[in-house]
Amino acid sequence: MLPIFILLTLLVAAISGITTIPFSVGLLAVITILFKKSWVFFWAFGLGLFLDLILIRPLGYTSLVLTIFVLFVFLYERKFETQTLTFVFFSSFLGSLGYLIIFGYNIVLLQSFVSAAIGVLLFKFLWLKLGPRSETT
Amino acid sequence: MGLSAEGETFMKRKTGFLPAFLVTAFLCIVLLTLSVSGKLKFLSFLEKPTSAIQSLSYNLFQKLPFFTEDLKIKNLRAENLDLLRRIADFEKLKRENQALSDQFQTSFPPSYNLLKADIIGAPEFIPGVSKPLSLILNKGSKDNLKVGSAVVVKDNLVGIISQISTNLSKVNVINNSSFSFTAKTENGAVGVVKGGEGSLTLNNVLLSENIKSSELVLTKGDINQDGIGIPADLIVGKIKSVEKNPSDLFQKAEIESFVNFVNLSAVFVYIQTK
Repeated sequence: MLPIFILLTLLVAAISGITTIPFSVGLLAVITILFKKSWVFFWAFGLGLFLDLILIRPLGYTSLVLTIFVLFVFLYERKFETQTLTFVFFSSFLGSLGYLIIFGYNIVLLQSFVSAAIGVLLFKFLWLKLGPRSETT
Repeated sequence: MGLSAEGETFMKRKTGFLPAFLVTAFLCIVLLTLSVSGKLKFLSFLEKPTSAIQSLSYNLFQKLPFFTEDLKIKNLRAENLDLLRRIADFEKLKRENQALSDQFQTSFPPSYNLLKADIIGAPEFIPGVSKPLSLILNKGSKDNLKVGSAVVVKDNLVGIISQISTNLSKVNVINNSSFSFTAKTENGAVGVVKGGEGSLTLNNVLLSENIKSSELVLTKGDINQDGIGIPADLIVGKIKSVEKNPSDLFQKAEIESFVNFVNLSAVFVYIQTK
């Protein structure tokens, strides 16, 4: 399953020069919710560095934003049942909204909605593939 | 202490992610501090492979049949831009001639060169449909580019360089709401052009000035003491509609740029030579 996520991460990084929709946030939300492992922070760090390089931002800026987003998902995991479509939608939507506002993009609500919808579809597809066992693997 | 297996797992998870978060957050803050203070320039070699990936995806996208502009329309647009450039040149010559005959003096503005730069990224909401608000170019500070330099395509203003790294630069397109500059119409009415949500408006034009639809809007020129900025007489676009209210202090007009930002693949940057 990991190669799929590596490919998805590369794809998200490559298309970030074409679209402003923050697919990286949706993808990280799905990875965090499915795996619930601490290495997701390092994944967010690497993806953020790549985005900083291609979007000419100060190195570490996007990484910090994505790392804090992953932390929030981990924190809410204690309060809610996270492996649900509702949680995936709201975490992706709010994360994307924050990301778009921080980096000064336009049409933030619609873009966040698209990002959350893609996140939900990805989660649903991967949930069928992985199943509930993903929490303990 | 009598914890169930589920409870133990929960406790394990509870403390498991914090060290990882602290390590990555610390790394981010250190990198960010060093980057902002300009001490990470030695890492510029990393830009090459990442920009290659970005360039590849952008070029592949531009070749998709759905997004590619019809060749006939593309040629017509190019021809239109060329004709507009000639009109702007003619207007400039006319004014220079007038100035020479009136005052018998001429000025010696600094000499500029145009550097071709390929677009390797143009983030936009819906690719191929919405106008990009910024462009990523494959030229940076090592190519003598500076923040504030004007970016053009056939004498049509595209934007200015807003951020720069060793190998790459980011252009704020004229439609970007964070970008404004002074401009004038063909008849000499002066105003401020401001972008916003993909549109362009000419604001702060005095009510006494006469502006009308289809009139060309040109840059007034805004060069700083280092010779960096927007040169005069670049084409911004043409006036689409005028909003004039006798009770207002100023009138404003909506402008349409002649540049098709969606299908741009290369632009030219003004760089000072002396």
